[in-house]
Amino acid sequence: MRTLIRRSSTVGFVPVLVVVQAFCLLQRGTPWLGEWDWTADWAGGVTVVTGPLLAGCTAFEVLRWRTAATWSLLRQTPRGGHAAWLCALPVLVIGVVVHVVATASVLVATAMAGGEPRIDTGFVLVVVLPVVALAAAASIGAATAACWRSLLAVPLAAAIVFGLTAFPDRLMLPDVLKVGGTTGSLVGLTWDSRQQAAALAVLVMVSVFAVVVMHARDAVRRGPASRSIVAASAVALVAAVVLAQSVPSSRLRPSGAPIRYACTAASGTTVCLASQTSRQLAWLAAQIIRQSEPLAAIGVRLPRRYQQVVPYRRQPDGVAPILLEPDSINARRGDARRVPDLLAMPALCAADTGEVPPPDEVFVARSAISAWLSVRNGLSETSDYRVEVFGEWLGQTAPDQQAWIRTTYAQLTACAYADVRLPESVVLP
Amino acid sequence: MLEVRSLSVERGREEILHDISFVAGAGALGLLGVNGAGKSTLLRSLAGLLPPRSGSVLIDGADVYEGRRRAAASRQVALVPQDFDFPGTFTVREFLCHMAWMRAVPRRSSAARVDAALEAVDLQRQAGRRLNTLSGGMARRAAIAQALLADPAVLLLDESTTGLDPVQRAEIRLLLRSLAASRCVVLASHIVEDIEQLATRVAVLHHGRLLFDGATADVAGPSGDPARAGGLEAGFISLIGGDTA
Ligand SMILES: Nc1ncnc2c1ncn2[C@@H]1O[C@H](COP(=O)(O)OP(=O)(O)OP(=O)(O)O)[C@@H](O)[C@H]1O
Ligand SMILES: [Mg+2]
Repeated sequence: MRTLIRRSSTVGFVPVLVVVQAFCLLQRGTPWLGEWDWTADWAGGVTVVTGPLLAGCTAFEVLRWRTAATWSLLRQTPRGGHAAWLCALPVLVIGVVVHVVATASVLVATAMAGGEPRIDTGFVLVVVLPVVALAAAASIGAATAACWRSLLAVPLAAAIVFGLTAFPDRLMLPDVLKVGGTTGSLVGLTWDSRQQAAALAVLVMVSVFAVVVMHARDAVRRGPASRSIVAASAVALVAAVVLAQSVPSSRLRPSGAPIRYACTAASGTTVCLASQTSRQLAWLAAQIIRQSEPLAAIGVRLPRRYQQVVPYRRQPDGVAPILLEPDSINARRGDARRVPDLLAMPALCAADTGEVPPPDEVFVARSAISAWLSVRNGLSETSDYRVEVFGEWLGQTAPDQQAWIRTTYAQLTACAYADVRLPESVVLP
Repeated sequence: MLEVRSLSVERGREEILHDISFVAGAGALGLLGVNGAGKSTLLRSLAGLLPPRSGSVLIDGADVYEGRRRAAASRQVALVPQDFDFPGTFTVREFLCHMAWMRAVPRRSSAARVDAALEAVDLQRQAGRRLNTLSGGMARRAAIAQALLADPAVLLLDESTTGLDPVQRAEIRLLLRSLAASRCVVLASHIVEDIEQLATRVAVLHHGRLLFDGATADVAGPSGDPARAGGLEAGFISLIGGDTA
């Protein structure tokens, strides 16, 4: 086997596989770095590209063997029945090794960046499914080359696998060959185990069907036995596909498990982030405490606890929400200029998440407070807000400015949105 | 022992071999025929690669295509194909090790069998070379070596001497002669000279039919025939009626 791998035509293709793998992993930067589940999921998504590539490589290697006159020599031997898969296996092994090394590398990088490793059934499946997907892709490549001994089988195999992975809906097939590649944080979400099981079943059946077809084509004599095996595996594949149609097509669902938080407490303020995405906790806590000082100085009653908002979870009463930007959720440091916005929203109220949005006054009031804070913290100039409706108000230094902020902040904290009034100089268009 | 009973073989919809029967024991059997006569088809069929339309192929009494002893029969036969184009990235030794596995040679004896096969074809010094760097003659010898790995009772050689220089041809002849001492060797060729020198027995195949099967010396007909003066070649040509197409 080692010889077969070393002498495989795919060996020369390994650098290409590695570069493609690295490109796919890093093409959107590394927003997943530091979040264990997202990293695992993202690493699996690479198979959308490497799967078709591997299918093409397998078809090429299989053709190299099958178009040789010596192919009949191999088939004539006592173990000739193994010849068909034996020439395809080295390509799969190479593809899987490249994939596993890449996945392990990003997971190690995430663990080193502080993402705490979490191994459960969902995680195991999310790292196993891409490997099974690669096996399915290689089997499709091998079967295509076995059925059509032409170099055109190479692009055809790649196109079949890409079509099945990227446009399953157009082929009226369940979207199960895509086994990763989530573009957002998985905080508050988990993998749907029924969807994963369906994906596993379909992928395994695709591989089995391809291998059976390949062997049936090679059979010296196509008897009723080989025909019934092909028929049985076709039925099994159709059954798996039908089963997969009945399963929710979304790979992720809201998690039922309690969310664990990582918190820091200083000067009477507690800041909590979901421990899954807590990389910027120290930075953010320091920013919240420092940037809220101007508010405290004018006597505003600040929230005692700030906590990250997790999708599908109710924010506890009296806890200020932290809404992290999706693209920097796992960054070690966020953007300091966004902290005033966070501080200007001291509560997540029913109206914020309900059908009827809060009155316009609430949005303007938050923007005005955020701008005021931003200017006090030296992050922007009054003149930056000239075009805003509250631009003129911001330039004033009247004592009633501070009084308005105190009153309004209390109203925002208490979710008394109907009571929010804008200063006299601010007129809504 | 190789036994062929009323073998008829089709390729596509055309019948290529018609009702062929013969028996061969230890020794070299020359299979003589013009291009397209059906020699390769017959050898492939004997090797278990082309199921016959009717008739059967038996090796030591076991049918190559039917029954429980099919696997045992296929173990007893090895084919050296006309074209040798195994993936050239393999070295000679790697190729032989792979073939030893394919031929179900037990792992314990595999290395020894590979060495013995290399020695038999005198390729020990080339063992580390890649197949695509071998000369035509060396490649043919490598192809023969793989057939020897499992020590088969029946060795089928398809044009194993074509394209070789006289020295290499002589070497291969010597090798085949020693191989034929203990097993049944079927050598297909359209080169009369090779068969004349190697085989004591010859089968003449023409348009898929067996025209002659007997001692090489008898091809030209009963002794005293004037054609016999021209040796096997003249006998062969007169046998196929001068029809070389
Ligand atoms: N795959 C095939 N499909 C259909 N016909 C074939 C196939 N292979 C060979 N034939 C036909 O079978 C006949 C015998 O071919 P075969 O290769 O057995 O001849 P041969 O005696 O080995 O010739 P050569 O000396 O050129 O090797 C030829 O007429 C050939 O056209
Ligand atoms: Mg031939």
